[in-house]
Amino acid sequence: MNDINKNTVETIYIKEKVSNCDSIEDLRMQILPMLKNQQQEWSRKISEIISELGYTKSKLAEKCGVSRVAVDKWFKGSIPKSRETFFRIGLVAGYDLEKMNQLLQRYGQYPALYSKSLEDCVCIFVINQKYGDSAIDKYHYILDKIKKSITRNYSADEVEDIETEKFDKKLNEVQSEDGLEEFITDNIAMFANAYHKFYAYVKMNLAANEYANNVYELALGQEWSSSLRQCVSAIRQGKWYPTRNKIISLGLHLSMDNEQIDEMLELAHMEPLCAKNIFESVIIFILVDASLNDMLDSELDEFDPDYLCNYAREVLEELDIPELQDFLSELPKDEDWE
Amino acid sequence: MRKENHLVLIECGKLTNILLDNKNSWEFGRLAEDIRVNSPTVSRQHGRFENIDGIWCYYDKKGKNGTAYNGKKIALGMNGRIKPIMLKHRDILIFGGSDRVILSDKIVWAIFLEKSYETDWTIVDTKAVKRITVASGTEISVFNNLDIGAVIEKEEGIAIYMGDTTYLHGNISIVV
Repeated sequence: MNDINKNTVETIYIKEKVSNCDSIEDLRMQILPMLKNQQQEWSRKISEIISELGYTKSKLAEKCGVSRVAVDKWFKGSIPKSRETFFRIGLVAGYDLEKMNQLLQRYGQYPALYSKSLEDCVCIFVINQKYGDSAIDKYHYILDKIKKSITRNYSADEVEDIETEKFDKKLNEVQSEDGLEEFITDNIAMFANAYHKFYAYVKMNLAANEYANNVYELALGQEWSSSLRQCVSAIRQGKWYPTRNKIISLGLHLSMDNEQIDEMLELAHMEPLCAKNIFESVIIFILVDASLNDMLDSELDEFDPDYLCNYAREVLEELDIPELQDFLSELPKDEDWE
Repeated sequence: MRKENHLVLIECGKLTNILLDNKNSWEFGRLAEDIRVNSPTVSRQHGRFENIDGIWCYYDKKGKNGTAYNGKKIALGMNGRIKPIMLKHRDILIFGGSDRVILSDKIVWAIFLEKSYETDWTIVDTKAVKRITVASGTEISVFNNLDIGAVIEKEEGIAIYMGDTTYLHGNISIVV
């Protein structure tokens, strides 16, 4: 069995285990130790990267644009919390496409590079061009330049669906920075459209249920973080490049179940919730447990739109694990919650 | 071939083809305003089809007998919320019936199609025919023991096999 297959089998196994957990204690005792292994692997990986590069920890931190403290944490097994950070590490390490995807999928549990998303497209180009030492700077420079220069004048009807494989091939033929800019400008409607179905799905869910009178009232009532509010307003205008944690946050705020959150992730070209990632295994536990509580509590006719967020907060706080703390800012404290 | 979104309904052997793109929203049910059916197991206001930014979706109202989507009953979401279904070409909805998904005269069978052809739908009698031979363009395919509700799609046409009858649309025919 190859690495990726083995990974998939393990993930399914752990997800089943998570679904069978009866309590937070169960989760803590049975699941979290299984995931320790993943942290050790990561710690070994980052040691390997730094020794291959011959960098000091400070130099690695500087190159990756993170603090020295963050790098120290990586060595102790703390897994970077964003896909972007994995990009940077991979670029600094001078990885080719295969190694970069392995880094993303195996260590980050993130999806592989996807040519139809703008950031990923630039990253693939930079990797193909073999910029060596300056790859990471090139990535930021090109991305900034393109983001500034693109205008989004397009209509959704004009976009022809192009197969990802063909699109990959076309991207691989691009040879220069100017060529890349032209390629992206030519395909800008497609980049914008890459999330069209995702946006539509979120809108469907907003429309399907009477959450307050509208999403703005809901956001106000639930005290959404300002960044999440921005996401929703950007979704309405078709202007958001979804990030994984924000999608999860949105799902919790809209009281979605596991299946719906997985559907959102899929429409955003990402893998479903992954039980091998500590944070996501806890989210899966929360969703499964909340659905079960819900069934037992059938007397409740009225539903409380804040229930899932409050419950998630309670679980995350009780577990008190560093990997989970960042997400708490997405879930403001509700004074009425008991 | 035209890129249009259709809902094709089959109830008690009768086929109705609805061009969804004519409107943005369609109410469906026994007493619904837009798409009205007779099956007693379908609720009065059973569900709604809606166009969201060019993508069709279906909202199932929390009715008694519910709806199956591609062979599985549509479940309610967290706290009994409605889970919208994002429709794609060839999705099949079965309205009404019982807890189990069984094809009978009591249900309404429907398929969502993202394309249509110049010709109207035609009906062919396939009673007691065990081997179905489908011809489309120069291509001929043979099917043994097709399941009722099977959909056969070719480059230039589509066929729906319902046992005693088969419905055809586009450049496609059944060789008996």
